Amino acid sequence: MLIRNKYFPYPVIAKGNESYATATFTSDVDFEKNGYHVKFILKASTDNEGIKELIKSKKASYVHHIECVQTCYRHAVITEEEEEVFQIHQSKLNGAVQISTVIVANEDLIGYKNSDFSADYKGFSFNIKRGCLLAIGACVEIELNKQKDDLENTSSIFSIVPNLDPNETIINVDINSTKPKIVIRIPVKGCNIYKNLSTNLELQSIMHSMIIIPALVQVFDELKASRFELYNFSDCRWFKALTKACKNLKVELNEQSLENLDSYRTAQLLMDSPTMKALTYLAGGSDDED
Amino acid sequence: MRIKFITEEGLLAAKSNYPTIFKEVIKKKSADLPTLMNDNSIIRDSSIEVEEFSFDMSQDRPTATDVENIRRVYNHMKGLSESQASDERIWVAFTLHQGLDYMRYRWMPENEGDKFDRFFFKNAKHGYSKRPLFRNGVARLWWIGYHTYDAKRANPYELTEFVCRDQDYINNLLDIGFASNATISKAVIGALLDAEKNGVTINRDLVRAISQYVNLLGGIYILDCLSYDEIYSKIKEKIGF
Repeated sequence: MLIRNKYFPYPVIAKGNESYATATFTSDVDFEKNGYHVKFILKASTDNEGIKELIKSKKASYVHHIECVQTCYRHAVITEEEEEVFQIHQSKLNGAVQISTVIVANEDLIGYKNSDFSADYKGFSFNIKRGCLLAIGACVEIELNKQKDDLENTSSIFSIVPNLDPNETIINVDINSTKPKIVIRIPVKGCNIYKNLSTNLELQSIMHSMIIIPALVQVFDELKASRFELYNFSDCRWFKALTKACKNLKVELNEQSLENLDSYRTAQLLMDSPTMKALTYLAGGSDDED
Repeated sequence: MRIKFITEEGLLAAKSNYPTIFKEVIKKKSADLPTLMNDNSIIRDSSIEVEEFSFDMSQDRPTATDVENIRRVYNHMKGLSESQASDERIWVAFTLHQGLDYMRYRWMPENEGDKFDRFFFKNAKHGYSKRPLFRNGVARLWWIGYHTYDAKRANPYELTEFVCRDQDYINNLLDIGFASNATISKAVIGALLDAEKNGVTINRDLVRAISQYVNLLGGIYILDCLSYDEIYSKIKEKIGF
């Protein structure tokens, strides 16, 4: 849950909110895996004496709101401590976990005032109900990708599947930000041949040249066309793996570098130039020949 | 029995071939999924053991079996972790294989583009969403059970029976942000149920209004810091019973 700064009917310490003159509220989250558990180290602190006093007297608390949408997990860690460790079994979480930190009133605060209220609020007092916000800190998003990361090799960002439509004769590529891999659909007969041949390592460079390189070119062309909206792909596993592989070639997948990217060249470099190897193999030579 | 799952490759292949799967597996039943995909290992056994169960398909009106099927799925598969229960591969093995007859009974598609999201997870365009958990034909049975099962009640499925009266209740009370906190969702549904017992007529308009009201409260309070009784009281006051 992203807790935004908005217009409140009473003063709240938040970035961009000027209802307090000098008060700040900072928060941060670290995490580490601990066997089958995920350990969150939750930090929060304010320099406002009035709020600190409320926390000390348990009239307010630091609240770390932890949410994992994918597993419907939502929990509030309520504490008076500036640093709190919260441990949770990993089976409760998967994917993105959002942690928002705030300060919340633990009881109705009648006639609340603070010496650091900005000029607009100076001299006023407020009735704040239990459960209401007093300060808004950071919202941290942590990606806990528990799925086996089998996408280290460039070719494994693709999934080659049969196209069961008997009337289909062409291979097509499905580049979709909602799928973990790029799907190459081959008419069923061709797919069976591919699956048989691809187990033969000697033929791999030919398979890569015929199937993977054109698909990779299409992927780069698609990314070039979508370079202003790359955020659409940011959560997607194949895009993360491709970005990592490109980094090894010193190619950044961002708006500027995609504009002038040579798709065909980059695709060949990423796959370690399979076409030259394939031609050499077909000419009866060995891959190792120079 | 061991819970089955479809391989990741198999899942991508199946999603990419929904029109053919619709025709051959769902509509005609001329082949099962592994045969159609020419891959006997596409559906595999997981390490998760559960007691064998079947789906209730006894009613003329399939929606009338929802509560009973939630009971069966959730009672037998309560041991799944939240992470496992959010894994599409488990549920697609049900919708297209073990639970295919149930899916044909409850969610028979009309054409090759229909009800994709009942057989698979239709993922959000950006980021994560819990919507697929409440749309997939079998996953929804588990997740509705998970959110509404209340062991403290004489009938632990009392809240389930309430939300299953109308798909719109499920959308507005479960497939929504605040519902991920069981204290909040149970307080809200519990208050609606008690309002009815006190003579208030419950209908879609009221349920939607209450859902909106809870969202509104979420903009003012950190609801997760409030107790069941506090949230219940706010809903009670709003409905006026």
